[in-house]
Amino acid sequence: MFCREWLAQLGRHQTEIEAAGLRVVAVGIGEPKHAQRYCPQLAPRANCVSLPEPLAHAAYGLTMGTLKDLLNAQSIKNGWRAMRSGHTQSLVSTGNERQLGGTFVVSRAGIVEFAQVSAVAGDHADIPTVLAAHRAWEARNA
Amino acid sequence: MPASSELFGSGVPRVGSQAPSLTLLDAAGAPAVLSELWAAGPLLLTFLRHYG
Repeated sequence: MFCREWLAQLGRHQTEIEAAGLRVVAVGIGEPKHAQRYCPQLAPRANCVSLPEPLAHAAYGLTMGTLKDLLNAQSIKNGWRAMRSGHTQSLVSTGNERQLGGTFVVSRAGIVEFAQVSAVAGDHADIPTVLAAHRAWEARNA
Repeated sequence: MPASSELFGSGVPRVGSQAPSLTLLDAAGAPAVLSELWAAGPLLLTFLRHYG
């Protein structure tokens, strides 16, 4: 449910994101057919890519959460928030429920401008903060 | 509960460092190389828990 909630947020903010000069690439665990199931309806202009194993997540240092990371007050609150916005857990999902996510901004030269690592399940980046970080980076490196 | 910033382990690329490039598959099943994607313009690169 959290991946769908996050994709939908990115889809709603797509115009602002693109106005800031960024393109969205979403990395999921699964196969291309799984990306096709969700991305066109939730974030139509995002480039959704995948691998069947969490190799890309590991390369970016994103770890599997512990039971404490997945079942605590904040993650339950996040789950309630996602469900209230209509994003329930699919019966058919891919990947690993324990995988924690993260968001990065990467420059044209491949330099990390911004990094956010989820502390608990459903802990998404704040889009205005992401965009502000990118604008500040661009201003410093103009 | 730790703040996000406290979770940054040695494997998380720091701001100012080179991002790892990998080859993934796009929605059509074609190879998608991250370094080729960011060479075309800066990315908001987000990692989902899963598709589902």
